[in-house]
Amino acid sequence: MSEVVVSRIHSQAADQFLVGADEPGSIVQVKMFEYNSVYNDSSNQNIERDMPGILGNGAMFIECEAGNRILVECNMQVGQNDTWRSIFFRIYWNGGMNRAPSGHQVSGGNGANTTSITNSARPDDSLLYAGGSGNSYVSGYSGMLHTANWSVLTPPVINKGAVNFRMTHLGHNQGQPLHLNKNSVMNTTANNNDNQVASTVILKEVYYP
Amino acid sequence: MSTVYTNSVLAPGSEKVMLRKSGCIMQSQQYEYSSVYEDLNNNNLINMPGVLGNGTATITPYFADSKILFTAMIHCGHQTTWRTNFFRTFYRVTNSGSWTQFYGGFGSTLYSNTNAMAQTIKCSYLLDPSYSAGDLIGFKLQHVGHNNGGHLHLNQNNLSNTNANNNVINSHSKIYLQEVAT
Repeated sequence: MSEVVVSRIHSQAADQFLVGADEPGSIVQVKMFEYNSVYNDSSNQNIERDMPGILGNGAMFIECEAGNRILVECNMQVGQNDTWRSIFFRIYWNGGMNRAPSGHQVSGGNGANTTSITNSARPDDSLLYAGGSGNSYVSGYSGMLHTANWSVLTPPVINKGAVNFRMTHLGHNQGQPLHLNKNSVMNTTANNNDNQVASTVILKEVYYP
Repeated sequence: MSTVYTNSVLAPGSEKVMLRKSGCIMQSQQYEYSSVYEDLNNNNLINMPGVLGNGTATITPYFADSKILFTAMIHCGHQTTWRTNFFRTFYRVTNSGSWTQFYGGFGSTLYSNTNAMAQTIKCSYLLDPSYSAGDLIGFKLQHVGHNNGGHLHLNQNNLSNTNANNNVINSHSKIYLQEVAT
């Protein structure tokens, strides 16, 4: 494979900076993981549960250089049945340190241990990094959906190689069921995805010197 | 014009990859619509107004096997009591091709007994279309509202309790396209 080792690249005509070894920010690669089936889970009342499929099984990964960071963009499609739903999401990754023993999330920073949340068991090297939330509220009707989108830039990846991600969901104590990707223009609780939505996680490796 | 042919650009010393052909973002295109637009019908499937729905949001990939990172950002206005808006996403190859729906759809739900609320919805999808070198790829959004509260008030927002067609915060609804080399 042809490679060029260089400190800076400028365009010739305008002498505009394009990329440099000392400047962070160039995108090295982009990957997306998606789940587009309708998935309901009514067992998440204040209980942390794995997301379905590839979103929650730990198989989302990106091969990274050490020191680079990962821009994580989450697009979660939160459906609703009468009357309201409030769903929280947690993102775990294994790129932040050499070893992280399995167990429950015990960070004091996010209040996880100061509430009655039942946290999920955490595999080896799986650290909670970022979360998001989505909610939808219309009294007396069903079929709605609300898209939750959030992005986070991770700290530097410690070791070169595959960095894995997994996501969990957690329902509010009074409006908990998850209706992932469920939507309909009609007032129905049917498991339809009429508008072809997908819940996705997009990973971008960002170069850092 | 000076040209260098290589698969990867490495930093000196660390030899970390700064750029490589596989995964590099080659170009970005943005298309926006900033007028207030309303559709006061429930369960009515329409093309979005202007460049968001007429097929002129396009990108011509540099390579014949690139992926397209599609991002839509829509400003949904609201009038009492609630609005649920769904957006469907389509692409076509060349201006005369047929439209293909893909799983980039998204939705907005907003409930309040006061008028003039607004919220911004953003959604991205990495698309792997089949096309040939030099082809132009077009994108469009369609809107359909919920049967019981599906009016669209695109880019409509006010700071007071009114239904006036104002966009006081200068919101722009957009389609944003990025070519990702593979």
